[in-house]
Amino acid sequence: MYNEFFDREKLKYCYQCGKCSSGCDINRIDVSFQPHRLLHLISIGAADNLMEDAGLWKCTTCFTCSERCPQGIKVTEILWIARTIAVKAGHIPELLITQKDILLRTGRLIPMDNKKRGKAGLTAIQEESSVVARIFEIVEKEK
Amino acid sequence: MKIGIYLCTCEGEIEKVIDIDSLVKEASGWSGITDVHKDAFLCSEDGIRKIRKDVESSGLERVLIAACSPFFKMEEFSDLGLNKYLVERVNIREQCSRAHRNDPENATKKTKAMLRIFLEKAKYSQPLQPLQLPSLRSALVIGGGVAGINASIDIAETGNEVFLIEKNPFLGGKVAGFHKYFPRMCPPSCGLELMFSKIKSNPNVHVLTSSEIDTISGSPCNFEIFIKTSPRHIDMDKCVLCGKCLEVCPHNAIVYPEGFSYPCIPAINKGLCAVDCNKCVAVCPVDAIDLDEEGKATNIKVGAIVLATGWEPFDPTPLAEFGYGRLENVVTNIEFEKISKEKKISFEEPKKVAFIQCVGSRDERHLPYCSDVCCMVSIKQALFLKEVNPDNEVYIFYNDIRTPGEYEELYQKARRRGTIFIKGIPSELKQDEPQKINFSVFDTVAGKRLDITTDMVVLATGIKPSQGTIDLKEKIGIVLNKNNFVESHIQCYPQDTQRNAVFSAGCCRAPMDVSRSIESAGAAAIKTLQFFNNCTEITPDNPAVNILKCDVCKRCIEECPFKAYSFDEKGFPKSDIMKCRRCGVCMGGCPLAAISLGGLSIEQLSVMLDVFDRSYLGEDEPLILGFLCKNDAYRAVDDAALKGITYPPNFFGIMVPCAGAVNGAIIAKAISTGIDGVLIAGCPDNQCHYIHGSTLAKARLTDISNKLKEMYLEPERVRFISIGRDDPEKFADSIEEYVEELKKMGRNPLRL
Repeated sequence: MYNEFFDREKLKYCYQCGKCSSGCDINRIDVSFQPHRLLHLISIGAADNLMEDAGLWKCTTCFTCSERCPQGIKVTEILWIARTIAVKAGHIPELLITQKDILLRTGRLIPMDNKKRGKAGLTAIQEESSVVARIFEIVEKEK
Repeated sequence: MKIGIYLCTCEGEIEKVIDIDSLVKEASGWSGITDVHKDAFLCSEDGIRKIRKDVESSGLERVLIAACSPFFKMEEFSDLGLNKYLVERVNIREQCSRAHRNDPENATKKTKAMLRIFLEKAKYSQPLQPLQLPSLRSALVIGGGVAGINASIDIAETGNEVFLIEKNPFLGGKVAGFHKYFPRMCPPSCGLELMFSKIKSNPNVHVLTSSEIDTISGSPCNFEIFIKTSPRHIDMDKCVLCGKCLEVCPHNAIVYPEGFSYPCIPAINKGLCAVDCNKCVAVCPVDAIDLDEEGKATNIKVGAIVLATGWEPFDPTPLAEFGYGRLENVVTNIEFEKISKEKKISFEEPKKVAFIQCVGSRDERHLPYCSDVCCMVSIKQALFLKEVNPDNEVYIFYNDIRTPGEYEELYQKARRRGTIFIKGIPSELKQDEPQKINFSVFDTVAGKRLDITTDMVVLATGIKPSQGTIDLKEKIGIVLNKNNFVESHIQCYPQDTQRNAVFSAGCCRAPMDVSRSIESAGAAAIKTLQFFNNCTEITPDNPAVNILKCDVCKRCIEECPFKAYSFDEKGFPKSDIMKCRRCGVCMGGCPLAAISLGGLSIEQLSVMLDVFDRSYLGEDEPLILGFLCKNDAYRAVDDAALKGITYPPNFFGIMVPCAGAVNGAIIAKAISTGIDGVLIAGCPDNQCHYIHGSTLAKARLTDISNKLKEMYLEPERVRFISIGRDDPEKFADSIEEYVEELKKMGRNPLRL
């Protein structure tokens, strides 16, 4: 399935030096997230369970891995594409669904509490749901 | 002209397919034919004797041997009593009787056509005589490292003169600066001292240190080299090595030799001196110092050249994440050699040292290749640390440990002594406290993250070609590959350089350890000696340019794979008889067909086409004229016969040195005089024995296609195929296909 989305040829260059995992800030905190392991699984075609892997969503796209890879493999991009594939297959973390709803509704990822803002002496922030709807309209048309 | 034709039946085999008797009868009637004979065993002593007798008694001027492929029985047919260029081999066995064994009638017709064509070719052959062109029996070895030193010794010890030129004031190259070298962990003084004593004691070796090449001209057997030597400022005959100059020099301008160095005399780098210092001059007890000494220019003449320009270490500064140059105690493996040799740091008080492999190597952004030695170097250095004090903690962070052959023992030893090998490369090095380096690395085998703090990190950096090697591209015109190492191209001839009489040794060709460098130096020395020995007589069959036709478009100069062309006194291109490898790419590319090889001329090909019977198979059968390259395609077509593969007799093959030797004018003539198809068969890509002859042949077809379209002829009539030496099936299949397609296209309308 991954073949449709990106060229697996470049992945074959990976000789598992592990620099991506070494430099990954997420791996430092959560050792189960190992970019080099994910690349290896995708490369050998054993990544079917990857879509359900929560680890896919932990990447912060800091690009340290892609910067340091001696074979110029775009690790970040590959994980990003893996996320797209996962979403298309219906696997997406709960938190992101919530965020998507908030985005569509308010135009922001974090809900704004205008009451609290008023108490702190800040101006109220508008909900921009109409603008967001318009953006999605245009995106649909472009498709 | 008196011509003799000899048809062999190969003990009756050929006769089973081809009607030799009828051909004998017919050929006897051709004009100019003095003798036509059939023989069962032409290559036998009797057979040869018969031919020699005829040559003498009948005064034969040309001889046609219609028998097996010209690649068989070469020795037997080499001395028939006349110049070998006047003997024409006609391949009626492999490429006729065997190839068309299922079609005797047409095989016989094809044989007749073959005899006619090669008869005409023979009439225009020239009796080329070899010229006496002995080589100067002297060699220039460029580079005084371990490879250059050994090449010089090997050449000198077989009685030939050697000029060894080295840009530094001392011989020994990088190895002289090492602490030890593997696998036996010897100090370089041991090995090098023995080598230096051989050089010292051999009057055939002339060492020029502090010297560089200015220009190189001339050609193989006779190169002229201009050399610039920088002044040493210290008289080599007077200096007694008291060391007083070194003591007083305030600017570190004096390079002092070690005990084993050669020449064992210091050198002064005047560029570092202060103005009017002269402290060394004042203190020298034997007046050996002359700060005003000027450089010298010399020129030498040599027959052959050996490149041994070595390597330079990769600078890991661009890999900023490793902090080289920024963090304390992050050093390269070369620097570690110096540190351990000069005992700058005492490893007797236990330290923690981490080695990081492949820094900048196997990296598409820096050195994409593997530098061969770095794994062994780190293991060597790890073993040193463990030997000085087993409490030294050593980590090696690797991608793959590469210790081939018996070097595996040293890898095991390093493990046994407690070196910890971790498969995983750290992403960055930090310095959270002074004098210490810390980093976090993911151990890919354990699946765990390790946080490490060490006293030192050694970056195992690789080997890259030296600037000296790159400079030679301009000076000698050698070819460098995509990584800037000397291109030897053919895996069977690793010490060759695509330039006659120029050989390579050591790391300028590829990263290698000391042992391999010395071996490669021996190989280069042998090749040099072979060159000297084989150079006595050279036949002038190299291409000649017809200056009446030539308009100096310079295409031959540009396309020659061996850069063998230069301008003569009249301003016309001329091929150097020694540099040329007789591929004929120039002959094939000349837009005015003004170039001909000594053994195969445009005129010959033209008259061969004149007498080619375009209807030898009858009016309805299409004919394909094939030009087969002698290295791969022709051999593959011969092999088809050996494997019992048959193909249609519509195909008629002519051997050419290279597919690139086929000139568009000949192809145009073939088609415009009615030949239905022309096939050019060359080596597969990347395997052309003449580097790009095959590629050029393919590319030139675009021009030819256009010409055919202008003539309202189908461009598919002319095609190029790559035939590997082991591809006879591919050849036979493509001929079957080709004949079918030509039948569909119909006869060439220009066939009369």
